[in-house]
Amino acid sequence: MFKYIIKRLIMSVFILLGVSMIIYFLIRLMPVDFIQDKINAINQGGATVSEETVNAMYEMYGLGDNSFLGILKGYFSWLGALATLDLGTSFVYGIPVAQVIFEHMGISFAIALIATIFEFMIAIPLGITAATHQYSFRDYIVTILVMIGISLPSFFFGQMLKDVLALKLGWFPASGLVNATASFSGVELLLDYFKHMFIPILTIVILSIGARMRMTRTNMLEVMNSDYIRTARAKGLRESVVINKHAFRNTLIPLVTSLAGLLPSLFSGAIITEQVFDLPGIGNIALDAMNRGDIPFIMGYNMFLALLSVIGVLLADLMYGLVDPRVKLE
Amino acid sequence: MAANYLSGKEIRAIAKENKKVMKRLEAYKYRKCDESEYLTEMKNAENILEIDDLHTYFFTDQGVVKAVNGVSFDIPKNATVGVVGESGCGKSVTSMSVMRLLQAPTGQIYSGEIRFKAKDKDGTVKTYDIAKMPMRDIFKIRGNEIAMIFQEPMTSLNPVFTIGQQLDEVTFIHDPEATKEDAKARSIEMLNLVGIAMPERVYNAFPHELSGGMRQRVMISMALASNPRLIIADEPTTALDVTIQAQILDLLRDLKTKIDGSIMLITHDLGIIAEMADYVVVMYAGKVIEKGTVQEIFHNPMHPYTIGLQKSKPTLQSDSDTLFNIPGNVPNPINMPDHCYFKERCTNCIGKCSGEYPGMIQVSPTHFVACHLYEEDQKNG
Repeated sequence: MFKYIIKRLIMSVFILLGVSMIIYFLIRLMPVDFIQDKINAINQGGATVSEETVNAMYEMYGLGDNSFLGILKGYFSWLGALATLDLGTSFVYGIPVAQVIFEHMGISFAIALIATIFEFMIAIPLGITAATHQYSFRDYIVTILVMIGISLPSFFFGQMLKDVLALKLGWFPASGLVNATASFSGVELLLDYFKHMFIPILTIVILSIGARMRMTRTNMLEVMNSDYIRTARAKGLRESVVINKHAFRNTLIPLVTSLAGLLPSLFSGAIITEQVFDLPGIGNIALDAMNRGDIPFIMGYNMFLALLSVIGVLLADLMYGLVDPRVKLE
Repeated sequence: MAANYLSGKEIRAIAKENKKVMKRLEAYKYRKCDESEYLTEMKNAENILEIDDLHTYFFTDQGVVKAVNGVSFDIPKNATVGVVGESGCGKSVTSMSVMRLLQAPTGQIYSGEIRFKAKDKDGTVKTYDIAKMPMRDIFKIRGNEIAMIFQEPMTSLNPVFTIGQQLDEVTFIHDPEATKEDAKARSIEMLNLVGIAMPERVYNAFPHELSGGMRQRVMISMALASNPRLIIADEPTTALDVTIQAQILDLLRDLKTKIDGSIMLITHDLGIIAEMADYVVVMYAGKVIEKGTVQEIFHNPMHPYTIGLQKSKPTLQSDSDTLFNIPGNVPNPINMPDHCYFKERCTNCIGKCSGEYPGMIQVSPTHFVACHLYEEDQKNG
């Protein structure tokens, strides 16, 4: 087991190297130019920038040479810095990338974690009743509702919830993370946070329940039709025991595996939802960085997600070995 | 197939009709009722199970599949009754009806009686009509008085629980007050009974760590753990190789004397029937076409289908290079015409065979056959 984990971790290093190379080259090929934007801003201010200053700036940011060799050089200097655990300095914020990520990750993580917990808590029971009452009225109602959920785009549904719950009814604040006019502390501050996060979380939960519920239903149906469920019934077990013990334990296998695979999405932030509710989460920041060509941040953010994905996949495999006795990790 | 083509209108009509019937039967299954409603009397006190004119239908979108269409036979005490027939003749569905394990809501017992003589916990003997029992009372019998062994040992055990966990469960169903140690002791005793060499090790093993033969032994031990009075073995050896088959059959035969009960053995292998059974029921397309003692069926088969089955058994004495086969296929079980279902494949047809379905003709006190060929004999003799 230990040996297996070590082996997988060593393999991960190579995967991450490949990923970083692809991301870096793609970003350098992107038609956004941080320096040009900056110069344009200065020009608009009325000042003029000499050709030499412009070139000096390109050199300073390490973007001077756009030939293949130049990009390669840029990549390796980024990699060299990474070896000393330095993700570089964000162009836009002028502070280390790691710091930017950590400052904004908390809020995104909190929203994603709470939303995921609710998603599983609601979707799994719904999936199970839909499966055990297949093609009944209950199944159709649940399926129709979650399908509506899947089909709604988040910018539309989020806006709608905001309009009704925040603007019309005034139950929750419409945007932002803290009440700008009041200064809370301690429990009150926490409560204020939750008030602000309520609609975004509700939006994410409603939109994501569908997929999870359908997945549970499909797995459950497959399990319910298997021979060992017939055996369990033939033994004289009550239907509730058959479903909640024998069937559910088998349905759990793909669910638990998918749970570990969710790791990167907990930290990646919900770009559109954060936009709609004007939350300073990492998704919002990442989108901004993309638009402005903040290469060190985009690299740092994407590599962080890549690392989480690799760990997530490893965790999923380990979980698989844990919940399914047939799987042996060697 | 052009003949089976249904228009959208027909399909909707079928679905509508099916829905109505299924709803009624499902409601009947889950009704609340008093025990007296399904208490009945055995026709013959020597029997443990009497299946009487059982109809089990599947309400599919193509039409009603009459998988079991008026089956009647008895299982006497301490006897082994073999049910033979080719695939799809309704033998498994008959056993599933007895266990009430039909795939709902499409599979339903439509009519008929399944009388079973059960012993209550306090020892009083009661006869239940299983076909009329509501589902919440079925636990009086299922896995308790009647246990079942399935065809597929490879997939019939839950892969995520150990053998011990799955065996202990049976003890806990019957004795909720049992301690973990009691259950384990009983499970190990059961594993010993079915001839498993290292019961302690198997107890802690997961199903995937055992071979097919071992798993089938575990399945049998699971069936025995409840002290059943009737074991239904649905092709218990089909998925096993020949040497293991013999061991499992020996085991079943031993057990019958040990538990002092009856066995309903479902198989398509006549060799197994000859070796194991006291009585034989031959089924064809959802109907019993011949039944009798094992000697009668093997030495004096009467129905052309039974004769064909005997001929198609491979023997060492035969000079022929090829096996005999009965020409034709089992008829489509939807919308069957009212004449002998074997007519198209039968080589001994007479004029009467185009008429209505032949009734059961008694040849000897125990031998019955459903064939027009023997009707004259009965009148004369």
